[in-house]
Amino acid sequence: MKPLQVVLCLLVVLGALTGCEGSYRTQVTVGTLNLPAGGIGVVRISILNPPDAKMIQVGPIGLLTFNPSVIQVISLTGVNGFTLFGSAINNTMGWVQFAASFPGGSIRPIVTMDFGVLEIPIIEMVVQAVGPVGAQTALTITAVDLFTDRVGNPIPIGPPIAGQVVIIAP
Amino acid sequence: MKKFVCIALVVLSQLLTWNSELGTALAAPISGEIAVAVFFEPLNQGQTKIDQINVDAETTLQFSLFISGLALTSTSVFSFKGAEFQAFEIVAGMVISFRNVLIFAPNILEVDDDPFWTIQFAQPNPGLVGVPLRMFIDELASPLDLSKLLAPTLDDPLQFRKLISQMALNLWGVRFSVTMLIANFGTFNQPSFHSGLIFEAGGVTVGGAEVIALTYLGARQGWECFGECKPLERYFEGRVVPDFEFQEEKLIIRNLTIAGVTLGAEIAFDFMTITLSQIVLSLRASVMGAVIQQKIVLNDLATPSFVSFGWTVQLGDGLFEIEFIDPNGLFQFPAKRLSFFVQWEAISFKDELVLQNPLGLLHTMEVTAEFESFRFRSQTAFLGGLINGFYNQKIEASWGMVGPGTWAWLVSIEAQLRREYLLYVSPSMTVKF
Repeated sequence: MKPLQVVLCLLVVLGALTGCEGSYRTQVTVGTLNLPAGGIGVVRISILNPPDAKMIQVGPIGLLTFNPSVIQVISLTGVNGFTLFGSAINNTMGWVQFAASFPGGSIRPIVTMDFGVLEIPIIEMVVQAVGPVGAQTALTITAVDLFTDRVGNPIPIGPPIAGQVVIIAP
Repeated sequence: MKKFVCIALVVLSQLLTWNSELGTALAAPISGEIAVAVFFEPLNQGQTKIDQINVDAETTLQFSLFISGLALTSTSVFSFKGAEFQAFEIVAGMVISFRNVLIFAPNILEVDDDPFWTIQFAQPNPGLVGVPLRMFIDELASPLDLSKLLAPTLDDPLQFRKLISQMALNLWGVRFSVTMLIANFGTFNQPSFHSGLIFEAGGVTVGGAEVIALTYLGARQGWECFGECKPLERYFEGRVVPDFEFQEEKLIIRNLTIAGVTLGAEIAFDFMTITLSQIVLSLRASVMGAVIQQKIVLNDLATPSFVSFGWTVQLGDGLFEIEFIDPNGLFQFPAKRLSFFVQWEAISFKDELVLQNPLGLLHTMEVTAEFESFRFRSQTAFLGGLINGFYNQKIEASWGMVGPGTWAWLVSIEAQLRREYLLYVSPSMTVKF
C-alpha cells in the first residue's frame, strides 16, 4: 500500500499547487518577439489547453491591439490546420480582427513520447518594426467574440494572455 | 587464401542459420490474420438523445506464405469505398538479405518527422498540405476524424504508389544496406515517378556502441503513408523527393558508454543548404539508484532548439519520473512532465501530469488489468485542472482465445467519451490462423 499512499500524497500536493478547484483554463495567448529595428518577424497566436477547439473569432467587438508607431502588421496566416477565412488589419489605429477555423477537425493537446504540447499555435502574424530601438508594444486581445469546439458548443475561456514586441538593435 | 577462408566461413555460418530458420518456417507455411473493426459515431454528438450515426467499417487481411526460405506477405485493407490499400512484401535472406515491398493505394502522403507530423505532400490534395497529422493520430483522437480527413483522397482506383527495395549484407560485423525507393506522386491518368536511394553502413563496436551512417540520395528523413494512414499503412523508410540529388548525410551513435555515462548522438547534414540540419545529443547515467537522462536538439552548432532533462527513480514497486522540457531550447523549461507507474501482479496504474507555463495542464490516469484471456484498459484525461476539467475517458476491453493448432481469435470493444458526449464506440474482431 505504500506506493498508493505516495501517489495519493503526490496528487494532493500537486492539486494544491495547480488549483484543482480552479476553472477550465483554456486561454488564447499572444507570443512575444524581439525584433531588430526595421526587421520583419512572426508573432504566434496560440491556444493553451485546447479542448477540441475548432473556431475562433476576434471581432466585431474584440480587437488585437498594438502600438502602430512601434510595429505594423503585414499579414496573418492560419497554421497547424487552422485556416484564416477573414481578417481586418488597421495599421493606423493599431488593431487587428480575424476569424479562423479548423476545417474537418479540431485541435487538442499533443502528448507524444518525450514531451507534451499543451499550447498549439493557430495563427502567425507577420509584423514589421517601425519604431526605434528600445521601443516596445503590448499585443493585447481585448475580447474573443466566438470560440467553439468540434460540435459547435462555446468553450469557456479565460482572459487572453497578452504578448509583446520589443525593438532591439540590428 | 586467408581472406577466401574467412569469406567461406561467413557464407557457411549464414547458410547454417538460414537452414535452421527454414526448418522452423516449413512447420507453418501459411498463416494469416483477418481483422474487422466497425466504428460508430453519433451524428450530432451530444445534441440529442436519439441520434443518427456515422459508421465506418474496416477489414484488414494479411496472408503470409513461407516457401524455401522466402517469406511472402500480402496486406489488404478494405472499407466501404472498396480496396484502399494493398501491399506485397517479399523477404529472403541468405548471406545477402532482400526485402521488397510493393504498395498500391489510391493516395500517397509524405509526412515530416516533426512533433506535429505535418503533411508535406499529398496526392490527391484536397487541402491536406500543412495539416498536423498528430491531431488525428493520437491517443486522444477519434479514428473517424482521420477517416473523414483522408476520405476525399480514396476516390481513385488502386494504383502503384511505392516500391521499397532493400538489400543488406553483413561483412566482418558491419552491416551494409542499400534501399531503393520509387514513388508515384502523380494522378491515376498521369503518373509521375521519382526515385531515391539510401545507403547505410553500421555496426556495433567491441564496447557495445552502435554506429550507423546513412546517405540520402533523392530522399530525405521522414515517412510516407497510404490509404487511411493506419499503422499497417505507414512506412518509415524515408520519403522520396523530386530531385535526384544528394540530400542528407546522417550519423547515428547509440549506447556509447564512457565512465558510466551512456551517450548518444544523431547528426544530420543537409546538402541542399550546406548546413548541419539537426544535431541530437543525449546522455543517460545512473546516480545513487536514480537514472538521469538529458536530451538536446540543436539547429546548428550553437543554437539549441529543444532541451529536456529527466530523472527516474524507483519508489518501492513504483517508478517515478520527472522531466523538464524546453521546446524552444532556451534552458528555461516552461514544460514539465511528471509520471508515476506501478504494477501489482495483473494490474498496473500510470498517472501522468504535463504542465506548461503559464497555465497549461493535462492530467491522465491509466489503469490496465490482464486476467488470463481478458484485458482491460481505462484512460481518464483532465485538461486545465487536476481533477477538474474532465476532458476524455477511453475504455478498451478485449477477450481472446487460442484455439487448436495455431489459430486464435480476439474480440475487442473500445469507447471514448469526450467532455459531455460519446465520441465513438468500436467493436472489432481478429482471427489468426
